[in-house]
Amino acid sequence: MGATSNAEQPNPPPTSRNRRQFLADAVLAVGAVLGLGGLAFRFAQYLYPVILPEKLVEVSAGKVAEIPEGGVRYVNLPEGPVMLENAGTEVRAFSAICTHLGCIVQWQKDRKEFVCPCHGGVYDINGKVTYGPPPRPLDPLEARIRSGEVFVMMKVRKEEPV
Amino acid sequence: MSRLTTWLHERVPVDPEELRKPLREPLPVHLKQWVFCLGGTPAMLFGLLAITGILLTFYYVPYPAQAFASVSNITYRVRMGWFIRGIHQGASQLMIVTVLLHMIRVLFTRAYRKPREFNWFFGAGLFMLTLTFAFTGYSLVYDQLSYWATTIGTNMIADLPVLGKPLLYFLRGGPDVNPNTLTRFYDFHVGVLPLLTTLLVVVHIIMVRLHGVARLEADPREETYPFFPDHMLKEVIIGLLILIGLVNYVMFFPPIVGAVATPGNTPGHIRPEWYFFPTYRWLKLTSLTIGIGGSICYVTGLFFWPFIDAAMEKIAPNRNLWVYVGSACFLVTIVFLLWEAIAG
Amino acid sequence: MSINAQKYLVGIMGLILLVSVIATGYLDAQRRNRENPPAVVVVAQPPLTPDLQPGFNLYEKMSCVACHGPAGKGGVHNFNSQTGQEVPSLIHVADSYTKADLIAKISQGVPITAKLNPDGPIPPLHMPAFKDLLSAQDMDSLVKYLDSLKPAGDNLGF
Repeated sequence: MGATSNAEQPNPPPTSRNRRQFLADAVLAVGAVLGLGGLAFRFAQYLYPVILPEKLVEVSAGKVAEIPEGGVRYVNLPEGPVMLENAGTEVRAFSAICTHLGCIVQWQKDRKEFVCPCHGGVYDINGKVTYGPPPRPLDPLEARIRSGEVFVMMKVRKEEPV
Repeated sequence: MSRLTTWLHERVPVDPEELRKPLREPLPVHLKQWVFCLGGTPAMLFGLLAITGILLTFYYVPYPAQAFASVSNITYRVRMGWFIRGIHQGASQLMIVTVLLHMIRVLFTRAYRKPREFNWFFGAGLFMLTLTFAFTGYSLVYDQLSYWATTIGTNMIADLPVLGKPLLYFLRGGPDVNPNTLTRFYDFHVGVLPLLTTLLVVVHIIMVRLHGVARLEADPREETYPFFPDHMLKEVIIGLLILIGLVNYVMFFPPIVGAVATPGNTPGHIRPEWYFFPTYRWLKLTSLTIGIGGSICYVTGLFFWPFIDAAMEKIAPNRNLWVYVGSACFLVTIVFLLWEAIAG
Repeated sequence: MSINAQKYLVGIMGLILLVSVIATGYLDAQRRNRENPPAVVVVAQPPLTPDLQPGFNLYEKMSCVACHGPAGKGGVHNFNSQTGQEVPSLIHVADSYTKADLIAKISQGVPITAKLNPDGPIPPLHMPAFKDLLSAQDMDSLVKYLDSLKPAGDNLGF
């Protein structure tokens, strides 16, 4: 009823006919919404990707000897990009993914720092942010050495083979 | 609440009464029979096919090297993938059936007569689009059955006079099958055909509203009843019936995937889908020229049926020739369909 | 059927639909992860003429047959590979590759086979690089043999 102003229309008196109609309408509404809603839910399940849980997996990252003494080696493992540091007494590993927006950082040998080419973020040799937008240091990764080979613990989402 | 209404009305200056008018459309009471709801049914199925089709595009890859693998992925690995694919397949079969039933209803109630001949034409166009949808869709599965059934179909197109070869090259995207052929079929199925069909459906419905629903020759009653909620409820019931049927059907008969398409290795006993059986049987019975010629005549006759009916009425008034001719064509089609189904 | 009765019917059918849709969830868990590997296509071995013999010998000696099957017919499972979870057959290389491209492919190999499901494992089988293992003459003989694997008859397609 058009653009009439106030809700001054009197409520129709509750006759048994009105109540019956209301009940019928209610049953219709509830049934239809539940049924179609259920179907829509299945459609949504189909669309939403399956997110597998993360697991830590030990991945070989080459030989210790391949990392320059006192320097850094970049390894692009299938599980993710990694920076390996030979700090003399130990080998340290960082994720090479910039904590700002996900670009891969590059090691600057002469300046001894990691620089991100996307927005100019800079990390020192310990992975701490010294300049730019990155909100936190480079993620450290656990590195283990066995018989001269470096193994890095990487977070991986894997589906179990059937 | 009415302040909100006023606020809205200032920005969308549309009269709500105008919007409610189509809902109040008076329909002649003979429409209360369920058989007259068969027009809305394919429309609902089209909506369901569009939704499930769009869902399928989230995982389907339209390139020969990956098409089969992606269909396999949907059917066996994606959550509820078998369900979406099954509903899509089932709804497509049902849509062809309901379009046919609606056509038959319109035919035998003679609703196509003057001045509604154009709408019959658009309806026949929609029927052709539906078949083309089914044909292109089936080609996308890229297993052996799908690949070779499509091969047969497209090579039949090449036999059409004059237009045949150019049309085939257009469909293939080249003189021979090439990697873009599948993508082209995909684009027709997902882009071109939905656009054309939506347009035609809108025109088809507008035409019905412009002319008003055709009166039944045999029913002189003048009373009417409103479209909403009365007729609409019937359509909703049919729609829910279809959904319940499809959901349960797919659970008992989920879709499968056959062997991957191998060009150059045709398996035994390939034939097109059931909706092409009548044409297939006819072509097997006659020479190529008569086969193609006959099929073209049939389709042309279908499109121009209202004018054929009018001509027959002029030649032999009140003899109801249309019943005999119409029934004969209908029977022949069914006979060929069953013949191919059983003996093919 | 009265209007009210129809409204009740819609409501009830909605609930029936809900129940059916809930049931699909149980079936889903059952059906997923059941692999249905595509059936192996049987292809007749084309006759071996003397000029094809060197290529055939190489095909066996270099173990091509182990992954690509006798006469390149394929059918060897390669879990999670994009090529239908199988090592691809070779019977159509004559149509799909120029001689130069085919030699390049055999020389370079495919170090990591593309995954069907990216969250799944790397497919166990990959195409090795044969560039240091086959001479130019070997490559020629091998390609000649591979080109001969195409089945006779028209190559119809849509």
